Amino acid sequence: MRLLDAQDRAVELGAEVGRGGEGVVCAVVGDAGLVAKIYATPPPPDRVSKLGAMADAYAATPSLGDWCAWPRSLLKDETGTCRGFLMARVEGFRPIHDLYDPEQRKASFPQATWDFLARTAANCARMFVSLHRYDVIVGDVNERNLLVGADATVRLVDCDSFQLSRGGELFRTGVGVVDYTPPELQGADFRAITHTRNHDRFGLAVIVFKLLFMGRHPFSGGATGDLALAIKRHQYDYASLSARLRHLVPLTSITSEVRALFDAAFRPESTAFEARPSADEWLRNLDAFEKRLLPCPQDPLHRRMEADAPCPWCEIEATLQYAYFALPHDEPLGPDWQPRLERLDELRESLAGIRSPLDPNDYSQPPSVAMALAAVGRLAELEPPPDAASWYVRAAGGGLAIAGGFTALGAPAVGLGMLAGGVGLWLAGTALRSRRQVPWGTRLAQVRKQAGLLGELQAEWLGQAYRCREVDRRLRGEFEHLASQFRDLSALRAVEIERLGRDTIHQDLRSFLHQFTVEAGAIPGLSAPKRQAMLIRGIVTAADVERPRLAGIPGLTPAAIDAVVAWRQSLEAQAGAARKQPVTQSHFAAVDANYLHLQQNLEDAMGRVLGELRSATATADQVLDDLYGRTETLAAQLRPLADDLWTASQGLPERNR
Amino acid sequence: MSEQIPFGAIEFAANPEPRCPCVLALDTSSSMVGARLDELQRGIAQFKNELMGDPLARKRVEIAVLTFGGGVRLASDFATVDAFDPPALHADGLTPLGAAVLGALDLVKTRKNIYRSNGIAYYRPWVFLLTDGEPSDPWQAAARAVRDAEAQRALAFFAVGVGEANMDVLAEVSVRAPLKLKGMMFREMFQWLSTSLKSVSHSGLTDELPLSNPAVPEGWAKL
Repeated sequence: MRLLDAQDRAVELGAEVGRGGEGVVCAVVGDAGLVAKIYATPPPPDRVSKLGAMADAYAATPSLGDWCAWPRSLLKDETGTCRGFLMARVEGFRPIHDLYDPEQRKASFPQATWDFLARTAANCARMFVSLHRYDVIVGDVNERNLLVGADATVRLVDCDSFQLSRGGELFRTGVGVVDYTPPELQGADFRAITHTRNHDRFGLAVIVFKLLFMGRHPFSGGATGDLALAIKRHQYDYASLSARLRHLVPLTSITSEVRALFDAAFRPESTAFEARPSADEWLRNLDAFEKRLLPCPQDPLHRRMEADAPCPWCEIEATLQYAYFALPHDEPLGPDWQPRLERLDELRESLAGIRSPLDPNDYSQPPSVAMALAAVGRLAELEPPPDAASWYVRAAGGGLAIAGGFTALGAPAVGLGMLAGGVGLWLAGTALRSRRQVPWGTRLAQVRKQAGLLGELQAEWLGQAYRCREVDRRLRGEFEHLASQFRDLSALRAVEIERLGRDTIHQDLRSFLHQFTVEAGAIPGLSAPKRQAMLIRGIVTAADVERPRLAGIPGLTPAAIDAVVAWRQSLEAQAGAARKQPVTQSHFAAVDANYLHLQQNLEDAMGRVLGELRSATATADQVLDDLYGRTETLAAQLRPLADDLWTASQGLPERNR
Repeated sequence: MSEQIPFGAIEFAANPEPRCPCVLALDTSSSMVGARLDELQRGIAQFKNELMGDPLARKRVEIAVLTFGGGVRLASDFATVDAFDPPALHADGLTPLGAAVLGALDLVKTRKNIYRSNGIAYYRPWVFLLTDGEPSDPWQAAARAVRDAEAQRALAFFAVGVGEANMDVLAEVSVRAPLKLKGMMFREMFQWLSTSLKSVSHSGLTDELPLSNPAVPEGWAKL
C-alpha cells in the first residue's frame, strides 16, 4: 500500500514498533522522530474528521505535539482513503503505573525517590496546563496512556481520544476509565459526555495522588470495594484508612498546600463549574513541595519535608518491615544457573549464515585459458623462418601488453597484478605511439613467457584459496572453542559455589553447639519472627545452623544468614576449634558477578569472531575474484598474439594491428 | 485497637492495584485422568502466560485454584498472575461438586474481606467451574448460594461442562447458561478467559461484563 501525507508526499513505512487493538504503529523511513499509526481497517468518517481537525490544530499550534503523540498529518492511500496518521515517536517511556506501584518501581525506576515522584506529578500538571491552554481536554485520563521517562518527564499517547472543538464542531472523547472519572460522570454514557476542564482536573488529581501515595487510589472503595460507587459518593477516605493502617503514608507528610488541593479536588462541592484546582495550581504547589523534600540521614533513598521531622518512611519500615524505596539487590543466580544458551543459539545461527570462501578443489579453469594455452602450444615446434628480415613485423596494441607481463614477472608475487596492469598499459601506450617493429624471436619468447605467467596466476589463485580456507577453518574452530567454554560456565560455577558453600560442622563440636538455642542466641539484627521462622524449619540450636539449610527460609536476608553463620562460628571458636575464614553471602555474590562477567566476555568474543569471519570471507571473495578476472583477461590477450605468430609462420599475411 | 497491620499488608503495600479475583474450580475426579487432565494443565499454563503479557492484568488479576476429585483441595491460594505458579493436577476419586462450589464461594468471601481490611478496591470476583461428570454430593445448597451471590452482584459464576457432564445440574447451579466445551478445546477456553479478564481489569466497569460469546461456530463452547 502506497501512503501519502497531507502534502501528498510519499511516506515509506519502516519496521513495526507497536501493535494494538486498532492497528499497528510503524517507523517512518527518513524521519526517526515520527511514527505512523496505521489502522487495520480504514477508520469511520467521524474518526477521520476528528483526526483531520487534530492535524489542522497541530498545523496552527505545533506546540500541541511537543509532549504527546498528537496526530500531525493524515495518511491516505492511492484512493484518498484515510488509513492512519503521523505522530511523534515516544520511545524509552514506561506506563505511569510502573512508576507509582512500589514493587514495580524498584525494578523499572530503581533510583526514583519521593522527590522524583513529586517531579513527575508536577510534569503531569505541566502537560495538562499546556493542553488546557488551547481548550484541549484529555478526557480519557488513565494509567496506560500517560508515560514516564527516566528523567521524570511525561508523555501522553492515544491522543485521538482527546476532546477538542474545531470549526464549530465538537469532537468528543467517547471512552473513559472509572478510576479517573469524576463523581458527576460516574455511570454516564461516555459517548454522549461533553468533558470539561473540571472533569480533567479530577483525573489529574487522582494521578498526582497515586504518585505521591505509593499507588493508592484516594477513594479506596470502602466497604464494597467498588471504586465507581466510592467516587460517586465522594468517599475520599484515605485519611481514615491511613489512620487505621499505619503502614500507609500519612497525609501530613506532604505540604498543607498540596493537601488542601486534594481536598478541593475530591470534596462534594468540587463538581461545580471550574471548582477543582487548575493544572496550574497543581504545578506551582507540587514544584514547591518538591523543593522542600530533603534526604533522611538514616537512609539516602528516603525523602521527607523538614530536617527535624520524623521520617515517614523510616516509621513505615519499622511498622511493616517493607521498604517502599530500595535499590534492587542482586538476586543470587540459583543452583541451576545456565549461561544464556538462547544467545548461543542466536550466535550459532549467525555463524551458519556466514558462507565459507571458495573451495580450492572446486577451481574450474576459465575456458579462455585452455584456448590460449592451446594456441601457444602449437607454436612449440616452430622452426626459425628462412628470411629473418621478413619476420620483423609491426606489433602494436594488445601485442605489447606482453612486455608488461615480463616486467611483472620479475616483481614479487604480492604486487603482481597491479604492477602488471599498470606497466603493461604504459608500455602498450608507448608501443602504440612508436610503432616499433619487434623481431620474430622476441615475439615468440614473449608469448611463451606470457603463457608462463598465466600458469602462475592460476597457481596464485589456488594458493590464496587454500590460505583463505585455512583462516576460515581457524576462526570457526575458535568459535567452537569459545562456545564450549560458554557452555562449561554452568558446571564450573556449580563447583565453585559448592566448594564455597561447604559448611559442615565437625562432629566433635555438635554436642557443644546444641547448648546454644537460636531463640536466645546473641545474633545481632535477627528479629523474633525470623528466629521463629528458623525454629519452624527445625533450626533450633547452633548445631542445626548450616548455610545450605538457611538459604531457603523466607524473610532471611543474605545479611541475616551471614550473621547466623558468624554466630555459630564464634561459638565454635569458643570451643577451641580453629577459626575458619568466615564465608559471607558477598563471597557468593562475587562468584556470581564473576560468572556473569565471563558470560558477557565470551559472548563478546564470539561476536568478534563472527565479525572476523564475515570480513575474511568478504576479503577472500574479492582477492579470488580479482585473480580469476586477471587470469581471464590475460588469456584473452594472449590467444590472438599466439594466433598471429602462427599465422605469420605459415607465410600468411597477418592482421594489421 | 485502631492501628492494625492486616493480613497481606506487605503484598498490598507492594502492589496497591485494584484486584480482579478469579477462582478456577476444577473437577479432578478420576474420569478426568489422561489427555483431558493434560490438556487442562496446559491450558492453565497458557492462561498465566497470556495474562503475563498484559502489564496491568498481571498486577490486578488474582488466581486461585480449587480442585475437587475425592475431596475439595485448595491447590493454589489467591496470587497475582506474576506470582501464580500453576499447580500440578492429579485425578482421583468422585465429584464433590456441591462442596467445591461452596468452597469457592467461601474463598471469594474471605479474599474480599482481606481486600477491604487493606483498603484495596476490587472488581466483581469470577468463579469458573469446570466439570466432566455427575455430582457425587448434594449440590442444591450450592445452587442457592450461587443464586444469592449473583443476585447481590457479589460474584460472576460460570459453569463449563466437559464430555459427559450433567448439563442439567450445571443449569441449576449457574445463573448464566452453562457452556459445553467442544471436544478438548481447553486452551481456546482459557484464551477466552484471559481475554475477558484483561478487558474487565482495564475497563473498571463493575456492572456489565464485556465478554465475547464463546458459543459461536468458531468458539470453544456450545450452549
